[in-house]
Amino acid sequence: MTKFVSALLLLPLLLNVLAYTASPIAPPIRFREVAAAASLDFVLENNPTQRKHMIETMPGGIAVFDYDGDGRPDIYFTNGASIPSLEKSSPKYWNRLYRNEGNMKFRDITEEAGVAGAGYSMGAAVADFDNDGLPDLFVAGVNRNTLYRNTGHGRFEDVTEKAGIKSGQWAVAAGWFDYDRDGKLDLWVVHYAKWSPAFDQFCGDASRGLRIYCHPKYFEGLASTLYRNKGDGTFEDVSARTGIARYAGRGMSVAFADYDQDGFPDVFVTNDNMPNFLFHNKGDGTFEETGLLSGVALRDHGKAVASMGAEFKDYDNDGMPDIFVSALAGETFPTFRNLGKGNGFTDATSGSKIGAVSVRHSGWGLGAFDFNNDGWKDVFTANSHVNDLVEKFEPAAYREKDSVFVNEGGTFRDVSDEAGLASVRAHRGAAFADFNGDGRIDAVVSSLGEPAELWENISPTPQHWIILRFRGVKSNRDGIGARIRIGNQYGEMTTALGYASSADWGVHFGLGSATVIPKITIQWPSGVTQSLVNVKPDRILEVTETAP
Amino acid sequence: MASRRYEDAIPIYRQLAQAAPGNPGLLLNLALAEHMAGHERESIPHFEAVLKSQPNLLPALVSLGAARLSLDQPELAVTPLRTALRVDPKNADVRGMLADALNSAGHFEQAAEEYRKLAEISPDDARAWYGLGTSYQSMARDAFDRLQKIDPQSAWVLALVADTRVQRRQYRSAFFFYREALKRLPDLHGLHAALAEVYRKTGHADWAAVEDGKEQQLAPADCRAHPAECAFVAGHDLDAASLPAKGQPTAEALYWRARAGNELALQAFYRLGELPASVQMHELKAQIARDQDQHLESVKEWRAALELAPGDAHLHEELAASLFLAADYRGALEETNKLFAGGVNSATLNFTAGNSLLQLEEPDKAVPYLQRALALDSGLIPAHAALGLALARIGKSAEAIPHLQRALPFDDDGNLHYQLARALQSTGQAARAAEVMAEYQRIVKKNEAEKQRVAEEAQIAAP
Repeated sequence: MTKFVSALLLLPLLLNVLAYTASPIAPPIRFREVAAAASLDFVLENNPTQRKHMIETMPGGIAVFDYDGDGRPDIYFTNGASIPSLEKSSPKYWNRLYRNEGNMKFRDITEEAGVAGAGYSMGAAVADFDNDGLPDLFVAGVNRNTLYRNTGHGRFEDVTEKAGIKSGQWAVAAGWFDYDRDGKLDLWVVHYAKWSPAFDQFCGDASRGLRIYCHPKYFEGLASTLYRNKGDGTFEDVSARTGIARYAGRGMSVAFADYDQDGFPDVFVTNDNMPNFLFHNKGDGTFEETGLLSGVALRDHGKAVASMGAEFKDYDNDGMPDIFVSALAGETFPTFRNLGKGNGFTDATSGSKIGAVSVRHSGWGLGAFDFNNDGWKDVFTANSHVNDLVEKFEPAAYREKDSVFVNEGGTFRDVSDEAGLASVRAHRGAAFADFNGDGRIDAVVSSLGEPAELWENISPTPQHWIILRFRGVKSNRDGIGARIRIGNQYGEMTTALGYASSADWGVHFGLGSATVIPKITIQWPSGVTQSLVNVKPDRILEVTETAP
Repeated sequence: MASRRYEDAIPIYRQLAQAAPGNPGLLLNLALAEHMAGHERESIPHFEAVLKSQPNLLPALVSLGAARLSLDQPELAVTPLRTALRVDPKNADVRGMLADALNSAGHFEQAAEEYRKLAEISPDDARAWYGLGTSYQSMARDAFDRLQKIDPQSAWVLALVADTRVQRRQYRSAFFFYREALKRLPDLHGLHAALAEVYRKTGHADWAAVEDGKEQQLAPADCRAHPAECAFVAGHDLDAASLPAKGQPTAEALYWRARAGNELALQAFYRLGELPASVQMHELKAQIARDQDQHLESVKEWRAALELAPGDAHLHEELAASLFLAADYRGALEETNKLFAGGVNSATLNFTAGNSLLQLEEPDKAVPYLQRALALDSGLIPAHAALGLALARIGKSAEAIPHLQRALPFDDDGNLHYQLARALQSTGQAARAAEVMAEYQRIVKKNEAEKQRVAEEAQIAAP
């Protein structure tokens, strides 16, 4: 009799523990726009000109990181510049850092932090490259990049030259990862194409007086650059040695994940109207490009699309990272499902139903996060077409609302309208974090020529969650590349995010109604495997790497 | 019959015709009832039987011609319609039908002659001018096709290709072809003027003036050796378009026939443009916009045409096609559904519906339409390609393979090879998949090289 009672008592607990493994009906997702109330007054100045320079269409990357270590994620916006000088000739072109003051209030501290930047900026990538416990900031830009080291006093120091990474190429995005697993973070910089302000090709319909941005085919693509961290504050360009320099594309974004689970992080690079690249890390200090054979270079129809943002995350909870890409109207947001066991990927755009819900949209910023904390990663996209005159040529909209697609057990449904995403703008970058510490992932979005949006997540169904942050010891201090399993959910620690953006430090998991997490398994980049059992949810948990 | 209950009239007339077998009036009424009810195939032998006994019976001649046209047998429609016109030479409707039949049967010159007469009789009839223009256009296209067959690499072909590129506003490409043509035929009249026009369109007025000067400095053509050129330059387009009655025409003669045909078409369309708004005017504008890849504009014109001719199935079909080309797949689908609801059913319509659904990422719904399209026309290659992709998307790769293979010979850009390779891979045929993927890469590489070459050559430079 006693045993029987005990079993009954255990049953609700067991149900709660397992609840996050399945989601028959996805709980609603709701946002409200609070930028003005939060004093987030950033305007992305892309400086559109009559000459329709390609660069004008592409800025807007955002970084979210806790620059001052107060536990609250802050926001950094990249910004444009004058053309043709490519100088930040006015404060309106400054990149801006907003400090999170708590209670969804922000304060512009750009000047005091010394991160207004220089040149026409596009993307941002954050990580603690010198393992001093302070997040550092890389800004990708048109023919000029900047590496800021966080000095720890609320200020940053420009160490670009000292670090040996000065470049004259047009970089759009970048990301930090430890490709050789030596415990020091390396930097991958994605380049778009050869371009200078002197480029003056007329594209469009002269007879109708319609000048449009030239098709990407007019621009000769460039290879990415991989900078290896030497550990002394300097980097060496290992692009040729690692084999990646041979692959010129029109790169837009980079995402990292160990897709074949061999312990070495692999690299996915989106290319604009060219096949995407998947660089398989061979583990011997070199990469092989396997995009075509792996099935992620192109959609299933065999045509290249305007691939922009990318996320390399497991959406179907099968324990293997999949790939999302944002692209233009009519192209869908291609989704590639990882088949595992080295069998590459299959185009799941139709099967996941993301094709049907995205086919009318043009997306840039992209984030795969569990916005309703039900244990399934949803997708948020910052939308707008690239061509500001598109409506004169095809039935697509230039300015668009953002989208959110709820994940219903591996298939997606468009819930943007009910979620409250009402702003119609030329959206570009997007970044995501729990800005107010309520466990729900919020979004910040930049828009060409208009104020940024801050979407506070007010999804009504109470669900459990956890954010894991990592302190590497043998591994890099941020734990970038750590692979985490909770039940059938899988995540990797990365700050590379969507389109030219950078994610907050940590990995967020929605847990549904689970009140306890029976087991969390972490595989550190060093090779150490660490398990945590019976973990309480609804908190940020910092995990320090154990000794091997 | 009087109350238009043709289906009901058929059995009655059939009984009457059987009861009085020698009565051509009853047989004619039976044939007319069948024709009016849309039973064209049944009506034809009855019309022919009537005409055996009364060869000049106008209603039988005209209706037989109309029945043949409905069945897409224009060549067979010509004879009865010609006879009908002999019986009633002032009948504009019969002349119009004859002109349509001749045009559809590929007798463009004869069609143009009939349209021209029609335009003289009824100068306000938009159909006449539209028909005249399209018959001249077809004549020009036919001349170009023949020219390509006999001398595909000639400067004549290059010059005509350049003209087409100008019509499509592809000025860099036009520039390249005109320059190539000029290298081989430096004294040909019109090429420098055409280059000048390209310069003007691309904002190089100073260079245009140079080319205009070169055109003016050309010596007059030797009219004995080049009669068509002289006729064209003098504005005698009909003479320039004419071919020698005997023997194979030369490449030069075909070139001038194509040029003159286009010029004559322009003149006819100009007259059409002077008339009040008409279905034909909108149709013409829609076609021009489509040729220039301005599909939204084309959609607008088809819609305007439909306002003047509501319910016209042909216009709805064209609208659906333009909506598809404009990437408005939802709109294209709505149009095709309207046509299906109205009883229209064709391979191309099913293909448009299926392909729209495929583009809308609804492959499961696309499959039945594409299968129907192929049931109606198994040679519709784009439908094979679309069905292959749709089947692959719903996980039926094995079923997709034969359709992709069927479409493979028409794969210019390699996409179908890629799709086939992926389908083979997912059905465990790794070795064959690798072969096809290698072929895909070869095609892509070849195309890239070709594009690069054209891009380098097709830069608009100073004279």
